[in-house]
Amino acid sequence: MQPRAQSGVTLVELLVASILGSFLLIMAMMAWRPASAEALSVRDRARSGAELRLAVEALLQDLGGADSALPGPDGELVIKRLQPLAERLGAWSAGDDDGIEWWLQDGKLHRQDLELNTDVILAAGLTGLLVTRDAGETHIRLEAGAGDDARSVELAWIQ
Amino acid sequence: MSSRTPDARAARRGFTLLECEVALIVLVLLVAGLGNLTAAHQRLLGAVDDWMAGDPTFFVARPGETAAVLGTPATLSVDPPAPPAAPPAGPLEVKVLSVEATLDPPTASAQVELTEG
Repeated sequence: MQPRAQSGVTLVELLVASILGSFLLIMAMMAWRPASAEALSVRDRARSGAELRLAVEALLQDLGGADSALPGPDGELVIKRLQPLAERLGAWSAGDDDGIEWWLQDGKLHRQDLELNTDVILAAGLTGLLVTRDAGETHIRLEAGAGDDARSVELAWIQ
Repeated sequence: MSSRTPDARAARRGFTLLECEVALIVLVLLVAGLGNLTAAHQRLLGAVDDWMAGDPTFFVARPGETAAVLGTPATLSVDPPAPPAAPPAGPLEVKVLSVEATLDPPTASAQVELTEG
């Protein structure tokens, strides 16, 4: 037997080692898949939470000076400002304030000021805006995400 | 090297038990390290998930009237706001401090002091 012939590896050995290594790599990647899915789920939930926070912060800005916050005929939220605030903002005409409508379209939360004729989008990626009135309380429910990643927050406005 | 006999070369063809054990220890350390890393990753994800869990309900707390007119935003409270104070039970003593009235526009305002009798 020649000593040089024993010092290296044959092509068959290299091929077998490569196949075994590939199998090990594939198995390791498959084992890591649930953890990756969990990380992606957390990312989606964090994104939903950020959008909900933006929507709530914007709503609080209007609810601070609200005289009334009631559900509209098409499920939107109608906020009417206190008269002194509306007068100060130039939103008091013909003896009243037409108010601000909050509504959801294609996942985008719109704030439409009917007196000042403005329409701005304050949050995106939402899946629901539910406004109900019960026993002197207006409940505003905002929803985001779907399935296991669904999140929601509810605001109770007592008048 | 060329002076070694064919028997000595044959003896070096495989690996020793010591080499095998060292390789096994390195492998075990590698697997243990990866396992710890995965466990720490899962713990962190679980903690973040718990932190974001729940569908809370908040009560909107309105600012005072003056602050509201100035455009101060409302705040959130986890507790419902306190109910308005009950009206006084006994008779009230009313003392008019000042009265201001105008004809055009027709308005009148008064400043009074109420004391429970």
